[in-house]
Amino acid sequence: MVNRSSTPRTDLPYLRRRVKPPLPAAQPEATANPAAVAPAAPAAQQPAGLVLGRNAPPSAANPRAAKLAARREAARNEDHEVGLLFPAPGIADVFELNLRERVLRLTALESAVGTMVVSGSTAMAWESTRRVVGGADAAGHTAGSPVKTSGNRPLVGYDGTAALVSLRHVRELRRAIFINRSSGTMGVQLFSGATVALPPVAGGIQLVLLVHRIGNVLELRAEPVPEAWEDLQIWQEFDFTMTHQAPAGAYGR
Amino acid sequence: MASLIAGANAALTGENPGLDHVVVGLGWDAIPSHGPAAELVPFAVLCDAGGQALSNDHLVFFNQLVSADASVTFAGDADQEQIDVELGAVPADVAKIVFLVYVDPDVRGRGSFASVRNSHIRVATAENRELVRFDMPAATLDAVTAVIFGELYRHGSEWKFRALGQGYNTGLAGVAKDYGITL
Repeated sequence: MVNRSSTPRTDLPYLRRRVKPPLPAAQPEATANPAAVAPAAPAAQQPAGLVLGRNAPPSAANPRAAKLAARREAARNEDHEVGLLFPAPGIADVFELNLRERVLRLTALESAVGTMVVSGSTAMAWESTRRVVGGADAAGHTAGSPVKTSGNRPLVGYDGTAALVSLRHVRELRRAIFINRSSGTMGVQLFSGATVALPPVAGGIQLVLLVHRIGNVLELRAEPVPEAWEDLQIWQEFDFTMTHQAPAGAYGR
Repeated sequence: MASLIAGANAALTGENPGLDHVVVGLGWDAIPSHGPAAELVPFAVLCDAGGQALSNDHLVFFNQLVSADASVTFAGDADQEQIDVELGAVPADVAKIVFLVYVDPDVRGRGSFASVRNSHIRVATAENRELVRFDMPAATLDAVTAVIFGELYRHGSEWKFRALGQGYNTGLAGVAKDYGITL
């Protein structure tokens, strides 16, 4: 027997869903069962056809939530280059940076807490992420431009005979070099107390300490240069060009 | 919006069904200074059931913007210090997330919370609807160099927030010791 009844079967759920709304026969049953009607009501308000993003959370439409999501996405990509670096020892693994062990890398936390103290250096130069370049020596001479941080301390500078880097503002630092013309060793100390040394001039070679930031980590390198080189030659070799603050009187000329 | 006192807790997901994302904001006023100023650093630690940091990759602060599992993100900028937590993405082995602020231990004067006023922590939705807030009580904080403001923690299948306001005289070193962080 072929099922050609004019009355649709509503006892089977999958058949009942196929009943078109205008059918008067289905109406009394639908109202008799409010629970069955309830989900159908919002569905009737949905536009016909495919709508992409219907499952997106309601917060996505909020401008503040959208800004937050964008900031979160940016943060996830911020330091991606660190994952591409070759392995390097940490400061706990290296006693001395020299011609054989030339590089070490700090962790993100070591690179960001307290002050990096470089003792025994006689001169230094720095470059910020905004390409502000300056230099100073232990005798108090300065060149180029200082970089002031929000804590009213220089990003890099001498305090007495010790060269200091404010690690709270490490993300403003691009790189710095530390030169040692004395006969003593140069030392680096972190907040944790971890230290590493660089030997003094020997065999006509002086070792320059290069500190440069890659993403959220600092890398420390011992770079050999001829002993006879002056500071200016070393700046040139490392491509430091001092920036200068123009006097206010020069404005508009 | 609920205002908490130290030690009090509030159900977040229990009272806000469907909540899977919160923004934890930390704020304070500092007395302006022309000299070297104490620099405060917001910091989040993802802890296991024993209360220890899972690893140093499970810390979130200005120089490590995302936790190892990408569930917690530092979303602060110059104007606001906020940490974004996707509750649904937090791994099961994270039992709580601790929020603290430490004074950066600069060798040219370490500073303390002495110059800090009106500090608070707030938990809000992504749309900035404030769920709970804890205003740190006014107290003498001259010797305090780190403060645990509060923590998000699991309670069964729910997330709750507890206000703490616990000060340290030993700064980040003391916090690191208590939470198993390698400095």
